[in-house]
Amino acid sequence: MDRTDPHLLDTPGPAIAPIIREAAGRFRANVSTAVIGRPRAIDLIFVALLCEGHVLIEDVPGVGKTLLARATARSLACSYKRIQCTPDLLPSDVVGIHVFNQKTSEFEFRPGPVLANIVLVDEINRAMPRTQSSLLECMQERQVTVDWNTMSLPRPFMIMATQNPIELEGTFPLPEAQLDRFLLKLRLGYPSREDEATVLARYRQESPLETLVSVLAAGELRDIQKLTRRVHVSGPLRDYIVAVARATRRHPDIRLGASTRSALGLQAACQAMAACRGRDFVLPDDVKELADPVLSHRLILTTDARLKGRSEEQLIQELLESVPVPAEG
Amino acid sequence: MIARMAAAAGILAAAGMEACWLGSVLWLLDQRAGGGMLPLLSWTLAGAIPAYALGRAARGRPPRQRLTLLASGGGLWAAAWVTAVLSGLMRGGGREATAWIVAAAAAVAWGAGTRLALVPASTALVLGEFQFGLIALVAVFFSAAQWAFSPPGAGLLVASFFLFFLCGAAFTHGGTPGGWLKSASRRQWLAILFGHALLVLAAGALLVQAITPGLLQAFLSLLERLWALMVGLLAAALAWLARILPQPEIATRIPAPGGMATPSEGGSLPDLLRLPDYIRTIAQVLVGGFWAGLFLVALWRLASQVAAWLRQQLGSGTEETLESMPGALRDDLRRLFKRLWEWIGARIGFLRRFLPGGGPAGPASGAAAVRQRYRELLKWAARRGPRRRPAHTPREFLTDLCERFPLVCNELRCITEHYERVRYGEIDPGSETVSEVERCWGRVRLSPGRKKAGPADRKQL
Repeated sequence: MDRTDPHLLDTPGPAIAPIIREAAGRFRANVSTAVIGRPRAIDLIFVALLCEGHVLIEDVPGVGKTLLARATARSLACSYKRIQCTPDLLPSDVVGIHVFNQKTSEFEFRPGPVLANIVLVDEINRAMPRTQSSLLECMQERQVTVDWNTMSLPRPFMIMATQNPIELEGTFPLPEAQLDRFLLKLRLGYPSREDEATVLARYRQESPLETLVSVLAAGELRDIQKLTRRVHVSGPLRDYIVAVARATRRHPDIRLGASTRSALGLQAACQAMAACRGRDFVLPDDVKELADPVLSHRLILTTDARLKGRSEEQLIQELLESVPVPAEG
Repeated sequence: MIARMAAAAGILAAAGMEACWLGSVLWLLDQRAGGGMLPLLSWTLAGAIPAYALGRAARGRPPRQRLTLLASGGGLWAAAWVTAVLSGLMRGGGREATAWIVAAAAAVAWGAGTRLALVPASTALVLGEFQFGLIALVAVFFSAAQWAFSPPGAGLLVASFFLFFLCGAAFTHGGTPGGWLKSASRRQWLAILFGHALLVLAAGALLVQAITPGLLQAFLSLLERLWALMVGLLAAALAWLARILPQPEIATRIPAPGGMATPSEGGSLPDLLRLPDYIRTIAQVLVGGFWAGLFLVALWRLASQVAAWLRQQLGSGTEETLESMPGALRDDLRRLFKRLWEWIGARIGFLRRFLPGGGPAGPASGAAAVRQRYRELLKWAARRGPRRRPAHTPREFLTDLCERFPLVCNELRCITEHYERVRYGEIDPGSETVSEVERCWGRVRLSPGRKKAGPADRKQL
């Protein structure tokens, strides 16, 4: 939890990007020893960390969702808790509960797993809606309210949730309000042939996850998060982000477009991505690259579009091909 | 294949709409100025076809070939019409006006054909043609009514115009990704389109039968009365204003001593203040042009509003969610004004060199210099083939450029990266950066023609 450099926050503008790029490189190299062949997913998770955003990882079982979340938690010198969601999980199991201590004859608060820096919510769609809703306050306001007592969550705070899109029996789809609170949605997909062979070779004896060390302290991460907000976003580029968000609301195949929160999230993610690439300003390419992971899970397509087999990713690509980029010419 | 068919349908529809309004304008001019003796009307309009073919052939070719091709075709066409005009002028007998009308119409038809070859076939193009054509047709019919001409086949012409618009808009929209032409229910949509076309024709026929000359006359007389009422009200308001304003006092002139006649004795003060005739003529032309422009703008706004309302009704959306769809005409006008502005700017910049302390005309700051070089790079590239699409980022465009010009890929990257820093980082570059960009730009300009990029070049990107 220590701050590594007391003068880090006084870093001048142009020197911000190299610091963040170096930290991103450290994080990527460390996580990559356990999670093989997923550089983009690791980068996106670091982007979410820098933006203090939450990540939803959706894919079929056995492709490394939980492993990625655990490797992330181990690479940070932060507290880590895991919630395994089941239909009988109660909100008090997540946020905590007051229990009566017979010795002191007083109620004592027993904190839930959500009071940690990194929280892995495994198979989130298996929890009941009331339990899912207990996460709303944590995700947006970064606080929990138990029996009229409101407590702040430790910072940095990040929820990494996983869900399986195949098995739908006994699951409860996440409400839009909750989906909108996830900054990014990642899909991992199956690894390539070479990567799969490397996974077999590396996990032959013992899991590299056990040997992972933390490479980023909580204090350092907090400072880097503050530095990221100083990455420059020009006025025309802000207009471009707004134009992309608004275009999703006008598309005939989209019933519910992107929210203002998503436009804010896209801007913050672009700042983080630019910094990870060693730039102290955002490019339209960052917007194009991050539009899909930031916006796709927030869109609701019309029934007609679904029947035509169109996907959110396709529509976002179409929109990006239609919204003019602010440039000369 | 479907996209090509849709594009061809869009071009055909645009050409059909142009033929409708241009033909009606020509007819009106012929009636008014040519005495109804305009020869070869269809041949005049047919000039658009070779112009279109030449334009298509010239598209994507190197500038020199394109110029040769367009100049040779245009030259032949112009020579034919100059001969016709000269023969008309030599024959005399009141055919001069006809000859000039034919020449002007041939030039407009040629220009329209070339333009159609160069613009992308899209719904916006069809919509723009519809808006402009609607204005032209309304203006023609209004003028014809004022001059008591009866346009032949007006009902058929208007029905064809709307039919062209309907089919053009349907096919170009259907050819877009996810459009109905690419869906499984293509046949049903085609049947609906056919039904609508029949409906338009039937409505046109009904209107022709229903709107009799008497009805039109009554409508026009009503308009005339309204106009007279408005003019009367305006005159009354002006008279009232003139009454309440103080009258100017004319100073009495003191006669010269000794009873000598003064030079100005022959005329009064108002005569001295009278403007020369040529200035009055210019002023009249200016005022006339202003009112005509105002009238056209009003018609344009009206047509835009009608089109927007139609789109809103079809899309069942609210006004807030209505996406703006710039038409071809608006784009053309904007491009024309932009070029004109750039031309004027360049001339002013050239003149500034001769002013004391002006020096070579150049951008004021380093950032402006880098942006100017990038603009020049875009123009340079567009002349050689690659054109940046509006949704392309400079980096995406750099990929295209490097594939096309691999020998100067590093220089292109240098210019693009500095441009990005200036445009998106809003960083004012130093003189060294500007010099580097200038050096890179110099090398790019001198680079030879195209060469296919090798795998190494692609990998470098």
